[in-house]
Amino acid sequence: MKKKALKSAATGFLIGCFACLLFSVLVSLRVNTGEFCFALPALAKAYGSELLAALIQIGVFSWLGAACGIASLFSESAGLGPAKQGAGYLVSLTLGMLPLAWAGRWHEHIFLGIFSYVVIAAIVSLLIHVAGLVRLKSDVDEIRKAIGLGREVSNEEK
Amino acid sequence: MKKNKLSTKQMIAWISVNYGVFLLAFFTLGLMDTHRMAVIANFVLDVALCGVSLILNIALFSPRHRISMAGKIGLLFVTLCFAAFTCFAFLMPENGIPPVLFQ
Repeated sequence: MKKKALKSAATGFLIGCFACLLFSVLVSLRVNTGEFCFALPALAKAYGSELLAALIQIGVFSWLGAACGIASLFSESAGLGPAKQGAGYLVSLTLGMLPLAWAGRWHEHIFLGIFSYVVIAAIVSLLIHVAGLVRLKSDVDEIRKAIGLGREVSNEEK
Repeated sequence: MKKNKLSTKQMIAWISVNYGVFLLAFFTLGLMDTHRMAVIANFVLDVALCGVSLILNIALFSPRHRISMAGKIGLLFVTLCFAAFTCFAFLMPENGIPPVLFQ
């Protein structure tokens, strides 16, 4: 379980880094000055340094990604029972969002903070669900292929 | 009496229909913001849709339904998101989108 959790967290970490890069590209396109802004301009302004803002942004995204990886592992572990599974999923997702809440200063606007938490949790959960479905489909395809190969081998033997 | 139990697919379909009706009603009735009755009808409809969706979401948590935990929690969060949006749009006077209900 620990090995699996580490593997999921590492995968999530890498996906988080990629999501951070994608976010920066989208922000740069939105700002539309012709320059690439790695960090969110508002974050750079709030912390007074673009480097610090960029480090915080990478940290927040990668931490959230790692937590999402562990949450996806909980989502797939049906053997744990629904209560443990749900609690583990929610706790890992919430812990993943703590740095985001701190960087986004959600405590200053409680309602907006709760709304942001719910929106991000919904998006992340649906993405994890879709990723699980895709993985399941590829597993089924692999099994089908294996069965097909088995048949071919048995036909050749005949 | 025979109990009418919905299958997982039917429940997800009903929840999706609720979301669609919510969005359609919110933006259609939201355009008629000059009529107070339309605003009240919009609010009541949105609350009712969120309530029904929430009941279906809770029912979906039954172990009988074979859907991943992420899917169940994701749908629950989407419903909560719509509920928070209704609260945000109608009951919080500082927002004003669409016009607040209790002025």
